Amino acid sequence: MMPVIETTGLRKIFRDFWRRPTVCAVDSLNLTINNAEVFGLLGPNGSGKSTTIKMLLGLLRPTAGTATVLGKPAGNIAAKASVGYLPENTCLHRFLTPRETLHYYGSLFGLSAATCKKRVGELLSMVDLEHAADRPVGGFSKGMARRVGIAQALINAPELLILDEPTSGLDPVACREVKDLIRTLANSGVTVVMTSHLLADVESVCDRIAIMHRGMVQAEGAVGDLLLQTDTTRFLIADLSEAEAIPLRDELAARLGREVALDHPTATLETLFLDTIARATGQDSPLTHFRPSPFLNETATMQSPISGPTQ
Amino acid sequence: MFRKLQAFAAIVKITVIESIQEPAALLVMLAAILITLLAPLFHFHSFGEEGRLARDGGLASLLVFGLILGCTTAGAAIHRECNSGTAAAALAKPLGRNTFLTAKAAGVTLVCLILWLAVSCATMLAETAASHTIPYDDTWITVADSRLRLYSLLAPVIALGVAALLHNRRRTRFGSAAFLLIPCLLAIVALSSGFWEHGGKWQPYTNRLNTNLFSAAIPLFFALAVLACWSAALAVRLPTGAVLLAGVALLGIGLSADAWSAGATVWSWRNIMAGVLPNIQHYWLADALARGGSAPWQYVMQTGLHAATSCAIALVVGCALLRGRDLG
Repeated sequence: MMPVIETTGLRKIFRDFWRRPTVCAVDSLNLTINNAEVFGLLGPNGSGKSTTIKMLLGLLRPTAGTATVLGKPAGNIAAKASVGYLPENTCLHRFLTPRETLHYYGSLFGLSAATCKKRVGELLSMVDLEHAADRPVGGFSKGMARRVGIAQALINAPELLILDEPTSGLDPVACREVKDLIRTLANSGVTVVMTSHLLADVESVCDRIAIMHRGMVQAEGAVGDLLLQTDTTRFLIADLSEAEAIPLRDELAARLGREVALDHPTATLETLFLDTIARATGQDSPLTHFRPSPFLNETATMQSPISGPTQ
Repeated sequence: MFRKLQAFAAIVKITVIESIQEPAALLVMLAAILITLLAPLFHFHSFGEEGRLARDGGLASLLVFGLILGCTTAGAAIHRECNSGTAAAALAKPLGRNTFLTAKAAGVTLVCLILWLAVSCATMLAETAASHTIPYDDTWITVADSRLRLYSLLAPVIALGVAALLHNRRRTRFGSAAFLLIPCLLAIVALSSGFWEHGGKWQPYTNRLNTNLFSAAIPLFFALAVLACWSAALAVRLPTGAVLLAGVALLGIGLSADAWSAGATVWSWRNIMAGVLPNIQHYWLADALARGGSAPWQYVMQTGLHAATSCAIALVVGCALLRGRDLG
């Protein structure tokens, strides 16, 4: 199957007013992103993640190399009809309301008035902004503006969704919803490319990642493969008391002739936070939905109200 | 094609909404109208040409304030959007850069058209209300139409009040509502002026407005459209302040074009520059209105064609600049 995104030797050198090179933001980038996968671009500030994304969208012109998106050259207008994009900084027209903003972006995709209205309603409900749908976005908090940004990225039910720091500015509950949304979209066949500084976000949603530094890919592969520590083995046993555990540890240590560590797995701060909020609001604990089971290699996900791409 | 038109219309609409909602746009319009309406009160040596002075002053206000509005609107709508990322967000959608810039320029021109409507109405009102010599009993007296002047000055005030009320009751955008209501109310005042005589006596409807004014005002709108398109083109690279300076320079060069291009040979730089840069002299026809005259409509149409060509040149330059620009 043809890759959704393919770059070959992609390079971007920024220049000053006099055309003198100032910085090489991306260098010799070779990436292949396949259909329905969630791909994460990681890296410190200035590593070239956003520059790569902007080149894929045709907003920046590559200095060298080629990039194809959905089988067409990067920036191709026909290809962009199937792409959703959330910029790093949510860029909105401050005098428009979320409803008007979404209608505007829907018009840019040529959506009919009826389709646009239906879609806008769905998206406003999805990002929980129905109560503020008719207030100018200029007065919104960063998190609320981010929700509008996420909604506009989905207005065309994209085949390829490019998210630049999607959880930036969102509270943990909204972060969790966005991550679930990404997984739901990927399960329905949407390819997602995301960047994030929050490594836990990337780890929990991405199938594959590339770690960039100074414009170059330093490591690339499936998240599980990259994180796997084959030189260390860990047993997970449910409901094991301290009295039972210590003799087992000693037995293993004696048999192997090496030191054996004993610990209890800890929940993440995110799951603790979500559990606390859920209890405070009298809802079922989201942990029952989200907690990953170490025994089953799957994570239950909350049903997202947003539908998959229209075929 | 339909999708392209839909996207074009959406960008024009957003540009207009965003531009007229800016407080600066409303201030420019109010300044232009108040100067046009109030200036006749301060003419001390008018030599019986109060109407002409009011008309010329109004047309000059239209050109100057139109230039200011066009340049600042273009700077905000294009340069600021390119820097803030809203342009990138739009261009990440299936939209060509040429369509984007052309639609932005059309939006800026539309904002200038609204200002043109308001200031044209204000100019017509100022000219009609200016002091006239009228028969009174057995003699002649020189009087101004105080009622019309009062109504003209009240129109923007009422527009602001209604806009505030709409904002309070219906959450309508105050700036946009006021910007659109002002020309509407001025037009209503202008049309209602036929119900009384210059001296203030009520009469059956009789047109007192100098409709010939439009033959001079329409070419000025064309000039504003040309300046708006050049501002839009330059705003791709320059910030608002620099666009405004460039606009003033273009106006100066355009107003003096007849002087500096006179006697230039066909292939000289001066002649080429005169062909590319807008010659604003072609659009200033205020003198044609003297003694109840009118500018020939055929000439007005020719200025329209000239303006369309100048706008096309400006947009070609702007599209080339935008195509080469990285959008962050």
